[in-house]
Amino acid sequence: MSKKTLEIAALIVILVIPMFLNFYYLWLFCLASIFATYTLSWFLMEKLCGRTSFGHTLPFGLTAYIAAIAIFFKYPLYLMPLIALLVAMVSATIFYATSFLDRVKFVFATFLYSIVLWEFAPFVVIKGDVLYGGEEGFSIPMLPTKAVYLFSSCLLFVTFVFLIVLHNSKLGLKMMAVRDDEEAALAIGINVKQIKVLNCVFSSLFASFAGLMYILHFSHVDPDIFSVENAVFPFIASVFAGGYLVPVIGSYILIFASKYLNSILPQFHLFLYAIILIISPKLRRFSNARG
Amino acid sequence: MEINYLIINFFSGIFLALFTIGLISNFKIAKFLNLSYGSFFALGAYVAYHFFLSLHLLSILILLFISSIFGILLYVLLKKIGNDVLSSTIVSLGLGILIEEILRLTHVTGYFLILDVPIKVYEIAGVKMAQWELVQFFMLITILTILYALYKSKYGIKIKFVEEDVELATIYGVNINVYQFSSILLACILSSVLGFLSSTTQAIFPSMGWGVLVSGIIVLAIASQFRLVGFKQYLVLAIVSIAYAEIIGWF
Repeated sequence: MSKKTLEIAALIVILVIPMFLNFYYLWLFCLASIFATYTLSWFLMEKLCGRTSFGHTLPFGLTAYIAAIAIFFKYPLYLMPLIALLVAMVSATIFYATSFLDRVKFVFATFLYSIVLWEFAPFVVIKGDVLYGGEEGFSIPMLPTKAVYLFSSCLLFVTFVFLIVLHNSKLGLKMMAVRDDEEAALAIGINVKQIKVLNCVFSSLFASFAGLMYILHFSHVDPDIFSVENAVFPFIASVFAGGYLVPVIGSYILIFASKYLNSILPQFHLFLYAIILIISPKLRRFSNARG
Repeated sequence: MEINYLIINFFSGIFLALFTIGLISNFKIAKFLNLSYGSFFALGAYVAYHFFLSLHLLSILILLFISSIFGILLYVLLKKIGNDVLSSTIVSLGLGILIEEILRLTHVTGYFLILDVPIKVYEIAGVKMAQWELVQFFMLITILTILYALYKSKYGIKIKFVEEDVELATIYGVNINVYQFSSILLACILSSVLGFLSSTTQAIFPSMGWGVLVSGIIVLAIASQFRLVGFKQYLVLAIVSIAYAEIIGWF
């Protein structure tokens, strides 16, 4: 059995177990699977294109926000994937435009996107009988958790398999060539711009659909979806990353640890995030050396 | 009415220039984007909230002590862990979140804090100006004068050297650690002093520094396009800050 097959089998086990657990754990596993998809979408850009983004809250959060507003205005649920697609295209365009900057400036610029959205989101207010939005955000009717989990686990599975297939494909090899040296890739006839566009589209697409799952799962979205905490989540979750299963497990561990630490003191988990961020360069060096 | 708006925006620009001076000095001398800078701003405001009413100006000593401790901690972390621009920036982001969480956990409340101190208003040539606005104007003049004197002194050429090429400066025997340490420490103190002084004019909450940090980074990005070193970059930074505040304020 190859390593890839084992990884896929392990993921299937992780995804099936919650179906036999109580509601609370099903809810938690559902959240973890959504954030795992979000992390993988980020990892696709980082691992295959060498671009560290702190702005993946753009496709993730914006889809959740716009979908919540659309549901608020009684648009049918089946139109929501269309919103995710649209946001993914807009985000991909922004990421692609930003990718003309060098790698360090790309990090700064994408971080700015998430903070600007975080600062701007409280000003999104809709005037009805009363005011909606603002700091409170938007709520939608609850959906059955099992149904949402089914969709979110399918999305995670598809993202995971897509990444493995892409990694071993010709396109994946071209992406990694662009990651390693753009000029050398250009010299051997790779269309660097096209590769970058595709990478941005794939990455944004999965992040957008993860955002859609987020609003369907939580039934509520507020400006904190664009917070620094969410912006750095994939970076922290994949700090030990080697293969593709490690970021998924990292996301699950972070979500479970966050819920546990939150029960001790509200938002105590951010303390953990801060510590991991501070030591992340050492951890990454250790992880790379081991790899 | 329009003149009043121009003046309000002008003083916002002065504040932004003061804030961004530390950010650009860290970027040019210590070679990283200090993402903990906004948290130092919040730290200063919290020190003012707790100590200003009881200790008045003596509370600035407490502020200097606390911000120096965290400034030194940032420098040590950068030296031990951050070995390039990106990793140093990420380490500073981690410290920023840590400071923010310490503030949040020690003030377990969902509400904004308010430091209730009457604001003195002066009328100069028919235009009303708050005491804090005049203070920041004189602060900017003082800091620019100090920077001018520094760059004209024997240390100026060494600082310019570090700004232009840190490796070459090291090879030629410039002790870059001294300049990088001073830059980080002074920037952290400056940010917290600004948070301290502006605490009477705004609501106090742990993430209050992010908004101003975003504006600071935008101004820094624009000012960096001029590729200047030495005193000129600070002068251009002040002009860009004021222009930015006027344009944003207008909209």
